[in-house]
Amino acid sequence: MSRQFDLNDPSVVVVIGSGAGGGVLANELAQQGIDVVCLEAGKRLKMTDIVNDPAAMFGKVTWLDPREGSGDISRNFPTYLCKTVGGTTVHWTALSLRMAPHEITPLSTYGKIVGTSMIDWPISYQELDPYYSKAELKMGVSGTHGLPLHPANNNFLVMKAGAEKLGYKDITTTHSAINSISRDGRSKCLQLGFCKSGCIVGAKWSTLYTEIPKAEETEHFEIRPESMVLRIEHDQYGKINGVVYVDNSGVTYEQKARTVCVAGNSIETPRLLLNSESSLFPDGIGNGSGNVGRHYMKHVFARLLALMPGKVNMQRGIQQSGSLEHEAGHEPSRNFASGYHIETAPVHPEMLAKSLSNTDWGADYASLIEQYPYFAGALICGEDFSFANNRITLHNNRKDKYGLPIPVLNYKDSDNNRAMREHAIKTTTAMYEAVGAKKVFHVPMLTAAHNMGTCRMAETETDGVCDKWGRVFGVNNLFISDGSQFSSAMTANPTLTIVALAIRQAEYIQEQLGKGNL
Amino acid sequence: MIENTRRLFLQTIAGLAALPMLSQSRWLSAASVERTMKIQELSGHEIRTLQLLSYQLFPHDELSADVYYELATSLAERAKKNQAIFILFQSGIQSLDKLDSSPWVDLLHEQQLDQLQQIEDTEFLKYMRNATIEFLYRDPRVWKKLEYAGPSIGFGGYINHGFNDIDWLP
Repeated sequence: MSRQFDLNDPSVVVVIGSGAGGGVLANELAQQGIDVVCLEAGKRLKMTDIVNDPAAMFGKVTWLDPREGSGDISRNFPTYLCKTVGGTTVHWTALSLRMAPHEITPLSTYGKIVGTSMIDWPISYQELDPYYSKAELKMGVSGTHGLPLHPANNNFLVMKAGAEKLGYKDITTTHSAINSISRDGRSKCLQLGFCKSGCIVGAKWSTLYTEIPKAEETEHFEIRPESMVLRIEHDQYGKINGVVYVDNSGVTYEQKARTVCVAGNSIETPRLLLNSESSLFPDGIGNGSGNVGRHYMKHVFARLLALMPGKVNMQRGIQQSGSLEHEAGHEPSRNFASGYHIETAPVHPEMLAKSLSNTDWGADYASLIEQYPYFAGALICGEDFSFANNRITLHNNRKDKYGLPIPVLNYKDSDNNRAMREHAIKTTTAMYEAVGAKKVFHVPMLTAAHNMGTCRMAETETDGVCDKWGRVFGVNNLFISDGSQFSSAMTANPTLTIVALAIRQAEYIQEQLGKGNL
Repeated sequence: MIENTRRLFLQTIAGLAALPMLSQSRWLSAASVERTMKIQELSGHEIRTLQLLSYQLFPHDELSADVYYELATSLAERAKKNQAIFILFQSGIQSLDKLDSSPWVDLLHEQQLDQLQQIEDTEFLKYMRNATIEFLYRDPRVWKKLEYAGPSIGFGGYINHGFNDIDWLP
């Protein structure tokens, strides 16, 4: 039985969310003897709840509470994120890339792109570097710390062969937080092919079966699943002193806290700050400058499915099994700033039928789906620059079951995104055609799997919500602890950076607690 | 993704509670409750229409007609419990049957396809397209035709089952 803390214990650190940010932060603090209560909106799955069934797992782990998209984003399903202990680390594909050194200063590197709200990160790559290394060690990232790269699977081999025909070299199965050997008490990868449905054998790193149980062993940690935080509370001086949350039977509680760290992912984190408005914070906590919810970034995405002349069986093995990184740098001759990754991405039959077309039916379409074994698949992931009006807002009248306004994701695509996407689709299509693709389908993606920047780090309050440590400007004992902190989106998937920042933030919080500053 | 938008829309329909007809059952007699429940049963003609419709949407000729029949009866079960779905099916089939003097199921193959094209943009057909995809491509009998093994944990994953057996690349 793990430790249970009293609601009125004001000495605990409350961490909201148990994913890559919250789960890691909470564990890092607990390992140092700091008492943590982690409040997670979702349920806690057992390993036996994880099955090789994408439809069933979608229902079990996805955040399905209403969200609305406005603009160039799905209206009814704008984000694909998780509501479960472990957060989106239960679903993610485990690609673990660092940002490149130049990406931490996008404004200085690319120059200001008209209309954007670009800033440089208020930390240097040198500061972040050791934490990337710690994150890679913690997560068991293949191709780092002496861990072997994963063997190539069919879908990756098609990408590699096509890329080599176009002249690219040194394409590898790259860095994944999936055990390439048995490690950390968890199995090595069995190439099950259902990474995104949760890893049945635990080879893929997820806080659900790593950080959370390790934190519990310290006896300085308690996780409360099915605990949705509704408000952050403060005293008359603006010092945070607790949070109000509701359990699955609708009973509300207040947990006292000495410090609160918000890691609900980039939609719920700003939403919580906005919903915590008070006379002292009439526009929401930490929103004196109006930046909470703004500068929302989601990456430039596209899916490609290629009908090949021979069998691929893309479902076999690691889903994100390698990536082409050669277009991820900044090459001005391409007429857009920054770059993109081409990542392998298979689909299962149901998703093939839903992806190749939204509307097609009949004999020709059914024949196409019957060629499932001949399909290869890839995903583009490119940098998305911030705009002040790409932002999370509270809905004017739609409320959730607790009576709180639901979040609206306001997002417009940009010229840079369009130019980048077009280039990426052309390159990926050429890659598949170079090895005989009969037809390449492009699937627009209007649902965001990567969400960043909505409570971003900045040098001053004018440009962001928190400082270089994730500490909210003007609110001494409130931290942003997830990807909402990102000052820019970079080209790579966000999780490794989220984990690195969480490890670093834990050290800082520990130091501040020791100095009596928290 | 656009299909997820539709999925959520459909989940929303599926989540709608059974409406007034059933909620009045507290003061109706048991017999009239039974009659009320029967009103949401699709007729034999309607089930046959759904069966043939799902086949025409995604015709996999090597599949037994049983698969499409099971699809239709599973949709009929859904309609029993959900008034909005029941109305969608009934009115959709009625509209389809009205396009010609004969019911749709009695028309020639090409005529059937023609009329489906006419109702392509309706909620009924969009619902049927999505429901057919989800039934068929989650079914192990269909997987066999696609050479897709489904869950792989049962045979220990693809690590020893051809995850890297591709042999035709130049």
